[in-house]
Amino acid sequence: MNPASPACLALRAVLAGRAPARVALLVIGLDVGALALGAGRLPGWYALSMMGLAVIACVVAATVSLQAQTRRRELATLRTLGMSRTALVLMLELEALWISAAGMLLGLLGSSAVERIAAGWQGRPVDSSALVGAATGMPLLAGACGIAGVTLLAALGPALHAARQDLALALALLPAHQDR
Amino acid sequence: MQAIRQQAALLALSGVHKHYRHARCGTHVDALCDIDLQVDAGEMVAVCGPSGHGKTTLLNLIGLLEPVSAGSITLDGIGVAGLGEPARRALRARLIGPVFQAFTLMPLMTAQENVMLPLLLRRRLPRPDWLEACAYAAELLARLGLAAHVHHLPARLDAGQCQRVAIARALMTRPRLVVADEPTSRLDGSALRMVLDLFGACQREQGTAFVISTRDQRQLHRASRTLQLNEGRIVQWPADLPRRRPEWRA
Repeated sequence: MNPASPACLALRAVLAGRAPARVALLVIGLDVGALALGAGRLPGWYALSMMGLAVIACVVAATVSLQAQTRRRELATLRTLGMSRTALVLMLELEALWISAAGMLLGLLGSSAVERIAAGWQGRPVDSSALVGAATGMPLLAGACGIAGVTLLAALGPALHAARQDLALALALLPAHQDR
Repeated sequence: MQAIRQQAALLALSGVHKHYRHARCGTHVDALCDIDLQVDAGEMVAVCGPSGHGKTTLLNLIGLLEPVSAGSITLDGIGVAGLGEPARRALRARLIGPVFQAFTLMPLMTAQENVMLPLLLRRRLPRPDWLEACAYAAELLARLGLAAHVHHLPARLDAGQCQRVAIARALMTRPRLVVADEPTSRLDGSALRMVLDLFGACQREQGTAFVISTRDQRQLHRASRTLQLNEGRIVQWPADLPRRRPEWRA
């Protein structure tokens, strides 16, 4: 590993007691992640990118699933009052997309912050190619579309499951041990 | 009034059975057996009986929340037994106002928005209709003693107030039939009186029919009829609560 990389500098700063461990861990994680996803600098970048997307998919699916479970009575009420299954699926997909969009925005801003911290520690000027402004045009659009697609696909299963739930059971109008 | 008379027998259940399969041992549980019931427009039918003897299942079937195992249900002249979920949903939204035992208000909506939720879920309303709906929602809340809580979130309301918001939500679409599971379980004397007065006004003015599961004696005395369920069967029409004509026919 490059001794001048942000990860090494952060590690040294922690060992010398100049930086809190949590901040250093975040910098190390983001630096390693950026290296992995960054423009093919590592041989396995494509596989690592896929790993990243798979993690996104798992997190989105788990989040939507948990949301649907927590709000099952609320969702059942919406259906009882006239919301269609399709509208319910679209609503949950849209919520997942919002979460994903917020994540993308935080990622873009976070990358800038990490670059600025690293540049400060290294005593060099900020590399403008690492900032938000540099990520424009087709690469940014393609990345955003890819993540949005993964999000929609990952949320579809839990959303469909939530839309098909038994209304009477979800409204807690039936004892749980009964099945049909 | 004549229009209401012609649409009598709003709801008819004939030979309705409902059984469940026990999830663990696989045996069948007969929740309802051979239920025959007719509810006219403007009538209030109270369903009472011991816990676990089929009251809620009966309300679920009437509210089109689940299908019957055998028999037929006719609602406003439409047989609902063979209908798919989209048709049942449309019928539910058009004819039925449900009141759930657990209220289930949307936590991020104000009381007025919760009351207007059934309309929010429908097609976009023209502005004059929308303003009229807002006014009607506020009026319903005011008639239930919640005029000061119109813009409050459910978290700021107590259980009785939430229950009244849920009742107003069920009445918002001027439904033909209100299906209510213990709608007054959390209400004190004055709130209960307001709810029963509003129910009575809906019966008289709109011909709304009510099927209500309740154990509250005060509500039982307001009912046109009371039916007692025991082990999934209608066992009696109590002698001390004889069948009365709907209030609008009196």
